[in-house]
Amino acid sequence: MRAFSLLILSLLAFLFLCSAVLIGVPGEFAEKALWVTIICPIIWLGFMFACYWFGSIKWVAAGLVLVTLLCGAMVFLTDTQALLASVASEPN
Amino acid sequence: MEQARHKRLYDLHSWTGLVLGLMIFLVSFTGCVALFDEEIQAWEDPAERITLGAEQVAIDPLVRGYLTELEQTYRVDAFNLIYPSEYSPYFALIGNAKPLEGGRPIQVSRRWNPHNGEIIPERGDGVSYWLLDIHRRLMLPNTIGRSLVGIVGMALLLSILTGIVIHLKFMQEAFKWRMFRSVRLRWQDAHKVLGLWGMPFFTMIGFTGALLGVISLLSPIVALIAFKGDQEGLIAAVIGEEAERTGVQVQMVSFDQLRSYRYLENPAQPDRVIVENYGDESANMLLYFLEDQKLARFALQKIEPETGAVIPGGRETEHTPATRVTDAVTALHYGTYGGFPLKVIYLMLGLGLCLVTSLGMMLWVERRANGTEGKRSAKFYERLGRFNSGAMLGIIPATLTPFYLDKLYVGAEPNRLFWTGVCYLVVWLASITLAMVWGMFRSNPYQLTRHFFMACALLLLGLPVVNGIVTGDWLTAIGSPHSGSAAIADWVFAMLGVLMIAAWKFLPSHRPEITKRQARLCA
Repeated sequence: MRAFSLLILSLLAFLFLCSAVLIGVPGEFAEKALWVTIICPIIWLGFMFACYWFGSIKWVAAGLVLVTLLCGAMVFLTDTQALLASVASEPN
Repeated sequence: MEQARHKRLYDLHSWTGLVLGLMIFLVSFTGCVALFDEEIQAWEDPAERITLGAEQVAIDPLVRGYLTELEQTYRVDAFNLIYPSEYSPYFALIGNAKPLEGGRPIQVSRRWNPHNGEIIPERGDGVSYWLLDIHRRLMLPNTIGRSLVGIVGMALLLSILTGIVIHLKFMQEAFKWRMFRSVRLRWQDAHKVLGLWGMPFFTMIGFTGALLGVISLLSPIVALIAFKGDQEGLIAAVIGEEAERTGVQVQMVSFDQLRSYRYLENPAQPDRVIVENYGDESANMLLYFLEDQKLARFALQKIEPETGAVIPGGRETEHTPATRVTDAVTALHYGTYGGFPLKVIYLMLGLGLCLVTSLGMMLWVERRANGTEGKRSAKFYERLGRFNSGAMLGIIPATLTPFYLDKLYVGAEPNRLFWTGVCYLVVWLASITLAMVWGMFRSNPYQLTRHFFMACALLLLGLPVVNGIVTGDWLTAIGSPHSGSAAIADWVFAMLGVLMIAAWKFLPSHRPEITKRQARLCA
């Protein structure tokens, strides 16, 4: 269970969190993408470390699934076309 | 720290090291060699041994002529024109060309002698390219390879973090190296001491490596999630849209004129010009300046392609905090900001990481083969130990043998990289097989390690000789301007060879027994 959380759940949570931050946080898209790239190894490392730091792996796994679901809901409920249009109107 | 948590983190530390330790070793060892790819390129290609003088031919007509030649069969949308420099003393054009009849774009390239404009014969990618690409993407397709290397970086970071948490007595462990105790304690102390002292560098190299690799994994998946699979939309959002050709021909600024441009206070000439849609109204030109003394890989200056006027601003040239950090990542990872001496320091620290990794793996096996841990038979752990030794030590002759191939190769140039790879993998596999077979006939793995060291020393000492025979440039050419870098590489090979012989002499030929006197001294 710990190894599964470390390999799969932490990866999913980290990817959906990065996507949600890109969509949800205001600011210029290219700048946000660079910051997310910079902090992504730290987030992923934090999730993986948490799997072995906390005693109850069930709670950690539940937390990771919750992060994935919340961020996933936010990502899939956002209108990507409107986002793309707003990105296109940014100064290049 | 509670005992259960300590055990969990200890298990994570050792299993991460065991499962991905070999990959960490491979990536860091090839990274150590790839640090010197420019010097190795000069050693590889005798055509690069040109004395760069002040009198140089005009490059603009040569480029125009070559583009006209290409336009008969291709449409060249983008190319880089690289100006002569210390390590690449010739003009080079590398571009992407799409066949007019359709099909996949291909890479086109040409090199010119800067003094007479003669075309320098093309040479296939060789050992420097192979080693750099093994380090960057394990010679796999870009996305998969870079992602795997990024995951190796993440594994290194995880090992460091768990290592810190399980060894909190820094001050005690940083100075404790019990030389006269058992093999296990000696390795354990060496692993901790080297790991602790090298930790800032290892963390930096792991973080920047993870960042450079994980971005390849991240961008398509985030595009899939956030842009519902529209990867082109993501690229356009981050980089900007590609300019389309309008078909209106305009006169372009001369490439010779662009050489006189300077970037702010940097006195160096541009390293290259990056060109899109050359000759068209929609053309783009960027001057690329190497920033070899700053914590940034390069600086860009946008140029008006018709007049050559500098265009201030734009996403390419304006620096934001995020672009400064990302620019610094590459410079930090490859040690490009402090010249040759910094690369030597990086080499030492990189080899330290290889040593820490191998000690960790050897320790894991030792605790099971000659200790109380582990549930498998002693024979199993002994075999695992031999495999580890063969795989790790075998990387050294596997790295050195392609240098011989490079000098003795007589096949077609486009196949050079393929045969370099074959040579590398065959020698590596042969080393692993030798280590495994050796154990069937001789039970002393210490002898095998010594033999590996002696073989590597002989390989290193033979490289300057082969270079001298094939190219005529011997070790004495170190002062001559035309083969300076190549001669430096020869001297480095020779010195490393001598060091390997010293290590061979120092290494024990059998498992050390602790004498009673040594045990008393230690107690």
